[in-house]
Amino acid sequence: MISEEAVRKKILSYLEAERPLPCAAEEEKLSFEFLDSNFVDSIKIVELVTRLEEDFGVRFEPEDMQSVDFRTVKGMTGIILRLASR
Amino acid sequence: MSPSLPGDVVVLPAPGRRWLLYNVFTRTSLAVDGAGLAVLADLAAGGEPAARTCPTWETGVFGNADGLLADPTRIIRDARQWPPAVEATAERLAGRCRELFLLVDDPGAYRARFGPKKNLLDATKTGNFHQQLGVELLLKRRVNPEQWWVRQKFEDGLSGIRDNLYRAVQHSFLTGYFPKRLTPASSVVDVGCGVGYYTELIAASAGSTLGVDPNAEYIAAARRRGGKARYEVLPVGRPGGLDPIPSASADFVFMSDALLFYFVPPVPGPVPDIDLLFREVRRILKPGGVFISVEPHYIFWLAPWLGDQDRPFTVLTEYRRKDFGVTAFMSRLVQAFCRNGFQVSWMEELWPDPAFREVDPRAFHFADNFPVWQLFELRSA
Repeated sequence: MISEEAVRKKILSYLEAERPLPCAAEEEKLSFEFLDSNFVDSIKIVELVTRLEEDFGVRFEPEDMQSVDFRTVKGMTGIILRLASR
Repeated sequence: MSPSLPGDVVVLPAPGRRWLLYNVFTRTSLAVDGAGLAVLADLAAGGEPAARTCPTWETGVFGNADGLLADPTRIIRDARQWPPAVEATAERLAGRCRELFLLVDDPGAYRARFGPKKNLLDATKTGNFHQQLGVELLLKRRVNPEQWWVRQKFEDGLSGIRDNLYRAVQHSFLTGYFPKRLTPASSVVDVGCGVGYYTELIAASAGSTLGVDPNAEYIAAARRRGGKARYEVLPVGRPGGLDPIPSASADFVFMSDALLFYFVPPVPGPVPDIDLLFREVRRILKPGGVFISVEPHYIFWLAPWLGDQDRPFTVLTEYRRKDFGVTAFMSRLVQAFCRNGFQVSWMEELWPDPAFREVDPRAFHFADNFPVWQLFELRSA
């Protein structure tokens, strides 16, 4: 069983590999729109997708990736937990 | 308010008393029978649909996933290849037509969808052709775009050009053109040479031939071929990108399928500076030297292939504001040449090899009437 905490930490570790998210509080990071703010580019997002799929044994559908939830750590965590529980 | 059938939708006849609804701007489609067509007409008129259910056929396909020169229409051509019919209620049909932009509730919101995506995952915009290809390759098929770009053009091992319009038009034309234009005394630089396929075709007719490209993997592949040309990794298009090439050293500079990226970038971001590139090209050309540019045609590249196989027509949905063509429109390209001291000394539109008629009749007949590539020869003014 994958914990929400583990997923969140993993996503953040990939996102912040080069520089920290521009957020003061931890809570803010979870709802920071890293795509719309251009914090990551399209190539990076594809790397992120591939790594998370490998780490958690899930496969994102194009609809998941293009959803509003996919734009924040919080939403992405929810998607991974949903896919992993199938 | 009742939904409307946007003016962007055309209805094309299909075999078996079926009708293909096709949005020419989004290039999405769905086939229905006469009852389905009546349901949509009833809905658009604000009435109750007469038929309760009707069959629908999913006719959409991202044809260009097979290559840039594949049929860009995004319709499964052969009705025998359509997936089995799905019986849909009037409500379900209306829902599917909304998803495919064949039925629209809010014309303003529908119009606002057209435009570049902010990033690959932005589903609020339709995006340009490059972005749509990126979504298809990266999100749906999960293939590496760099490898895809090479594979869609070349056979395995880079030994030849795949038997599509690349071979029938571009390769076939250049095979005849280089021996006429070049001599063993000619020195040629192929700028943006990729894996060096055309560079070697040039080297077969020219003397000194140099291929340069910013992609180190492509240059490594070009060198592995063991041909006559020399190759260098150079940051083409960047300031000082061609600095290692001496001034006034080339009789010819050749560029193919590269200038389009100076007008519409393949990924969202700044467009490279074409003036900077052209100044560099001019610098390395000898006085009286010729810049040869072969690019996707500024009007017809990626235009839909409609009509009968041997009597094609197209619907032009764009010229100045590009979503699919992603090439510069004519005045923009020619002005870029002129602004940088070039004069057009020759221009050609490229036509397919007649033998290709047997290989892919639809592609042949389209490309034989609507050119897919154009060639410019330019001299320093």
